[in-house]
Amino acid sequence: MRPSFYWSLAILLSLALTTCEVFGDQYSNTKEVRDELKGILDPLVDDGLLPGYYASVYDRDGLVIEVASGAASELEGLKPSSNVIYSMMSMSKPIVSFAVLRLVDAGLLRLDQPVKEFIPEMRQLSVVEDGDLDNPVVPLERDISVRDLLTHTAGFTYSEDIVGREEVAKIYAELEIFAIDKRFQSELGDLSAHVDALLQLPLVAQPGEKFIYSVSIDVLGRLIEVVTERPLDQALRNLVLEPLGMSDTTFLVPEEKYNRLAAMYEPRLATYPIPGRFARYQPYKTLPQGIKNFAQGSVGYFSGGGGLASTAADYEKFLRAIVFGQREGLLSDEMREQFFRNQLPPALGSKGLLYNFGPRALNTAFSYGFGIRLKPEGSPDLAGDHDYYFWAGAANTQFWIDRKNGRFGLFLAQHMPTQYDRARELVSASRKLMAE
Amino acid sequence: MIRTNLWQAASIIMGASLFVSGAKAESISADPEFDPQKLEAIEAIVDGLYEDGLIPNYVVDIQRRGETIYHIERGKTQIGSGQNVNNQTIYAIASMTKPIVSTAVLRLIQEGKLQLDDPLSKYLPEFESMLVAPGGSLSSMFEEAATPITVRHLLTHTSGFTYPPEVLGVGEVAQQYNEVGVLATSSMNEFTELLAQLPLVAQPGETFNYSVSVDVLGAIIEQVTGENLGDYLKETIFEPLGMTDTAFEVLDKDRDRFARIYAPSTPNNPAPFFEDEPIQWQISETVYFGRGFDQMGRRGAWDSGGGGLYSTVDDFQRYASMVANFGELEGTRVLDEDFAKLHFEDLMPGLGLEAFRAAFGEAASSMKFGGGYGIRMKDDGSGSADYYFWGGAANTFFWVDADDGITGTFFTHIAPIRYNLIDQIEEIIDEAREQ
Repeated sequence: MRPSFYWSLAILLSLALTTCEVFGDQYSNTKEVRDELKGILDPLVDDGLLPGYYASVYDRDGLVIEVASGAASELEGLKPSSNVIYSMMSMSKPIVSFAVLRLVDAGLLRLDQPVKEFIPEMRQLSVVEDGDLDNPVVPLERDISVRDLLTHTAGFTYSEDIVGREEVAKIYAELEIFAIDKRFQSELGDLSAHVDALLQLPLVAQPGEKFIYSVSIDVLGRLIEVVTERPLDQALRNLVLEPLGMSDTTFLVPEEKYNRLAAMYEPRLATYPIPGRFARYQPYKTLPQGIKNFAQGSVGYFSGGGGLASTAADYEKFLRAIVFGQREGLLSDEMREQFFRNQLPPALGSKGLLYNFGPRALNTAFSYGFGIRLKPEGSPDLAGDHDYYFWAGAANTQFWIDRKNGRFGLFLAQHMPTQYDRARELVSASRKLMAE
Repeated sequence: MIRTNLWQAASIIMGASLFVSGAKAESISADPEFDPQKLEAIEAIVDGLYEDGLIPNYVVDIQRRGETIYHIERGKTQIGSGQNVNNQTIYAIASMTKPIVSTAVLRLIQEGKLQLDDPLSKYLPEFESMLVAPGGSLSSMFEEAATPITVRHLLTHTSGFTYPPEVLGVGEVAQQYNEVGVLATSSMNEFTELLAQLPLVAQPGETFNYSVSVDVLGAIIEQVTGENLGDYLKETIFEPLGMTDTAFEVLDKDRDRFARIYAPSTPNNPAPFFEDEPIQWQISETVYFGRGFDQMGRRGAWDSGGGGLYSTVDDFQRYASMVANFGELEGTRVLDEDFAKLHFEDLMPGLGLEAFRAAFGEAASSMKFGGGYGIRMKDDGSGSADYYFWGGAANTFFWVDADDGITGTFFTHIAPIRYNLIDQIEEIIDEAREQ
């Protein structure tokens, strides 16, 4: 009896594997939708805007569509694929948020818990409204909670070099607090030193007042270190990366994987009128000599807000865990569900992200680590009004989740800053997939 | 009844306000040679950019000998406020200053005050002996300039000068331009003195390097005429052609016609948002080469022949028509025909593809350079010119059709250049003409 049970299990497993391999089979028009995706993305390469890209669509069963064009590194002739390693920048944030929610699930943290209970230096914080140093220094109206950090409503900002727009953001820049270009070597020191420096500066808004895209996820990185008593890289490995099998997701890409690491590019801005078609990008210039991307060479500090490098294959595993929760016990269903709820204070409505992202971010809400695109005039608090979920990294990586249809996707390139946001078009093309 | 009337009134008002926010004016001449329906494809291109919130406004104007073939305009001098843009809107034409200064140089050549192959050092002795750092590399072995820089080299950007890195300057020498502040000097004299102390990035006459060459031509003009550049251009070109809105500054009385400059928005400079605005802007007002709107349009310490002019579509079309018509507009002759033709003549015929490769990349195969004008060669390999053109860093363009002298302009204000639409618009005009 026993052997035949195992035998039938093996058959079932191999069947499952077979269906996985023959991806896209369950749709009658995979080829047409694939062509449409190429129609959206290929012009970016054909018009010389990007050296290359990789994009994919997944459903519950696995990969549905995979498209790519051009090069991930022109110099080495590296072709984009699911195993090419990209700097994920702000797409690190959902991973760190996931780790925090695991700690909440485990009872080591509460979402409404004051962060000062773990990082006592938080007590010294004050606020200058709008980050304008002419304004009076006032005390906090309430403590910063874990939830505030998850939703960029703590009152922190980013360095002016990144996205900070307040006067205080200039001081972040002067002190090189969480500066991207200092990821290799930071005179300021490690993660805890960056947080220490940060906490000497005033907040630019009261906790809970505004959505301000910020270093708050880096602060969460430090919180994870304090709670787990481990450095952030190790803590993330234990909490997220190893359980999900994301073996290519790291702060520092090991040397033996350099041949799979994409090169970073930046705009080549013509200042005279070149006619016709020409390359609008060039290798990213401010990297240290001999370095083709961030996450290569050395790490100055672990940046939970933007330091992770990963592959499409790895990030698929991560999104799959959020969308389908396949790995039992990793995150409670109740907690996983929170990723699909608006977590911003009600007063911000569907306009909270306007402050940083302008009119394109209208009708957008925010959960933990990523955004919620609402249907026109939709309410952030009605699940039925959520169109899709998405986030992006500063180096032109994007993901989207179409929860209702059980699909998600990636669009990966390496171009700082992000210039080519195609999430809307990709979601709408994927929705044309028709079940057999 | 009352209710119906109110609704009617409301819809009229709403209709009117919609018209204002989308403000668009169009005029297509009855020129039977052009199919007006085909010309409408131009509108589709610029509207696509405008409605995606990528450009703040546009003015496209196509003329032949002063007669309008196609014109379309949309948007405002400032997003959310400001005047509607039109042919009298003032734009920073930046590098479109260069062809105008080149015209002035050709005029001085015609008058015998300059020669095309005169060495630069004849007028500005500080450039007598120059060093070359090949490729702009300071670690390379410096060479002595094998041949003197000439006026011809300056007209064609083959002098060996370069620009700072933000204007795609070459190598460490480009950085030196910024370190010593060649373009931030307090007089024309100081500019040439400083520039003469920096190495060239290539041997004179060998490679196209977009550069401060035309600023140096401005210095020669001042030296030869004893006038400052702005005054000389005014006397010899702007006043004769009736270009009343072209100058190295924007007067206070004209500033409400002066369009602000935008750049793609970033989270620390997010796009403006207005309730009920149908366009989701993706651009924000920007600081242009270190200057905000309040500093723009103020006269500099010296008149930059490489990029200092402000102008309007009306004015620039008058200039372009004169050049297209080989030196004459409405009975006013600025240049003799033989000298006007030098705008469009390949002045460095010995230069091959490689000489243009670094500056133009893939487009090098279709590039030649005349007297201050880029020459876009036809793609059919015939070796003949398609159009003559140049543009400015704040996204203003003009061109002259090589076949029939049609002049076109496409002005908007977004820095740096993102939308060179000359190829597309030219092709539409050619197709509309083939009727």
